[in-house]
Amino acid sequence: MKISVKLLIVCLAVTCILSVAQLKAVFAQSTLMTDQQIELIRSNCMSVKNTLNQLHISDALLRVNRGQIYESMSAKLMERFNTRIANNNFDSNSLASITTTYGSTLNIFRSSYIAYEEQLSLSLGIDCSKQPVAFYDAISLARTKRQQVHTEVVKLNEYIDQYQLAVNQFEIDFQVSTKWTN
Amino acid sequence: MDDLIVTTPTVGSSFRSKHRFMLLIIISILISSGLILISMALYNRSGAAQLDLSRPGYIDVRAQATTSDSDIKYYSSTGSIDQSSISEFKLLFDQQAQKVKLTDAFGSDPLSPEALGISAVSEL
Repeated sequence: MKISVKLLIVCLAVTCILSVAQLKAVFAQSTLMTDQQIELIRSNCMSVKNTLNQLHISDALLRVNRGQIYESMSAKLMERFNTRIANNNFDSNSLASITTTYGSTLNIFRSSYIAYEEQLSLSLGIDCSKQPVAFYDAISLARTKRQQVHTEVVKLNEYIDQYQLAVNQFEIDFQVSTKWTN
Repeated sequence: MDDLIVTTPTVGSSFRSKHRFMLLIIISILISSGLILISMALYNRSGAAQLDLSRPGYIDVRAQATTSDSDIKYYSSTGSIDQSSISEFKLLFDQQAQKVKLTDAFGSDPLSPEALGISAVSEL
């Protein structure tokens, strides 16, 4: 009986700690909005929706054009150069490694954009005059997901820089090796 | 004398034979509806929907989309490696790299409360 009482106390303590942690997490994510602020969203509802619609369209165009360049750089240039180097029995490991990382980042970029687009579409589907808080939260989430897309763009650009440096290094090594053979 | 096996048409089979054509149409519609649902799910989940500029509302920007990537030349994956082949690759690659870095894609923050005009919100 004594053991069961102790067990009960321990369970209660664990439950209390978990509840407090959960509440902290919820409060950290939620936003505090006054009536005046809610009214601001309601009054600007149409203009905000128009801006979001325009952004939705321009971002789709940006995704199409940018995605095409990124894919072409990989398929038409990087992979082909790596193959040519490997066919000529040169060391292409560093270039191949960067190409692989670039490819996986490109996949993450694609999925990040899908997540962002879905969230933005979801935001556009919310009636901001009736549900201003839900609308604000949905936009905040879309903003975070758009920032994630930008992070992947920055990473892709970094890998392009790394590849350029690796090609320069390959060129130097190649020149040194040809000097030795001559 | 062998017994004769007499089969009498049941109600179910007569219904089927009477409405055979109707059943064919209904089953065809059901199968095609199922296939449409599957293809729509694939269209949405694969990311094709996000890239589809033929959707309504995208007419204005459709013309601005790059319809072919022919400006990026294929680098030959065959042939020997010499200084000229390396230089050729570097030229092609640098051209595209410059194009990519020209604009900071998705870099701006148009979804910020300030940009949308709903900035009077204080976070906890």
